[in-house]
Amino acid sequence: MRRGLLVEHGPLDAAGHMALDEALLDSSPEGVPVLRFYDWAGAGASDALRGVTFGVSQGIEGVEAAVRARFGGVAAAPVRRATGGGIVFHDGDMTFSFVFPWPTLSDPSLVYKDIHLAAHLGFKALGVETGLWSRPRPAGLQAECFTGPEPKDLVSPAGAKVLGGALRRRRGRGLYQGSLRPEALGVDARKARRAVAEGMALSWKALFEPLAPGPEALERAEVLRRERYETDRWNRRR
Amino acid sequence: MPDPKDCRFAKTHEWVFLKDGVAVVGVSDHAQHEISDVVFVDVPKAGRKAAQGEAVAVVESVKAAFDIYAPVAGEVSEANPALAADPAIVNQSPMDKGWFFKLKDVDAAQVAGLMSFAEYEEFLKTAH
Repeated sequence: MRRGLLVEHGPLDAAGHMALDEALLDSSPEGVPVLRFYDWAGAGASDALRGVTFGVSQGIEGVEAAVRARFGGVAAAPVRRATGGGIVFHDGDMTFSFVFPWPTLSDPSLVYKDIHLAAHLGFKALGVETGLWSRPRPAGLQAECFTGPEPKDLVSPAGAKVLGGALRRRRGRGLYQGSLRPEALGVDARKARRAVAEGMALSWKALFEPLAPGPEALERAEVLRRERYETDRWNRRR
Repeated sequence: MPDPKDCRFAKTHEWVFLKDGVAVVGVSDHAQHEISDVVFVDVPKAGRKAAQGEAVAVVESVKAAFDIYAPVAGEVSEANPALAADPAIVNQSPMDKGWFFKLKDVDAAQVAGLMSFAEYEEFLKTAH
């Protein structure tokens, strides 16, 4: 069994979560997988919009248009992620991140598949059936993450998208940011967390030890929040 | 198109072609193959100073973004304008039309300290 870390932190808004994830990517111990489940600040009703995040290369105008179309202009300010992918509306999703060793440059679709396979195993261990979407990718990029399943997404037996995510590779480490819809499987967020934690432990043969982020990561996260994720310079850069 | 044998390579898979004191930088054929279908490239603006090994560019393939590093220190003198309109040229022509940026004020000794093509090919065998 290898050592893993289950990082616990109090509620944060979207900018705070993005900053802490990047800080963990930059500062987590070498070779140690780090799992973190988000607690959202201001989360009252489970389906309330807690935040909007979007992919590192997406244009802000299209993102804002999508937010307006869905929420009539009343929504949290979208925050640009460090990872790829499309827009995610954090309204009742179970959000989590995973920092892992990615020492050799390799096909990201295989990494994506491995992470979703871990979640699949975790749900299976809890008696919940899921699968990995295997049909070809639709033409073009999907602007929104949950428009429909894409290859290697975790799906329900009925084919509804359950888990989608996005990746960043930096200095031999990977960051995965995932958004899971528990309602698509008829489970609650707590059970979904258990399944993901169980699946990661099984797949990585790791014992995840609960731990608060260290001072170095917290300090780095504060700088990133202030100087990147809360700024127009980052969020509106294209 | 520079011959790979005239280029030097970093362990992080960038290539450098030094000509008249200017270093042209891109990613290797191996790197574009692993990254797969490139949909976006964010290159540094002219005037940016970069330290050796500093992350200066980002490449995105579907759902995944990758840091790209300055293989040697220098000042960005030009970024490839074609990448914004057609990022797929990184896949189609990684050693030619898909170059990322040019660096001036580079240290030739730093360039020489990178791997030759033969060494890079050997590195790919051992690093996997």
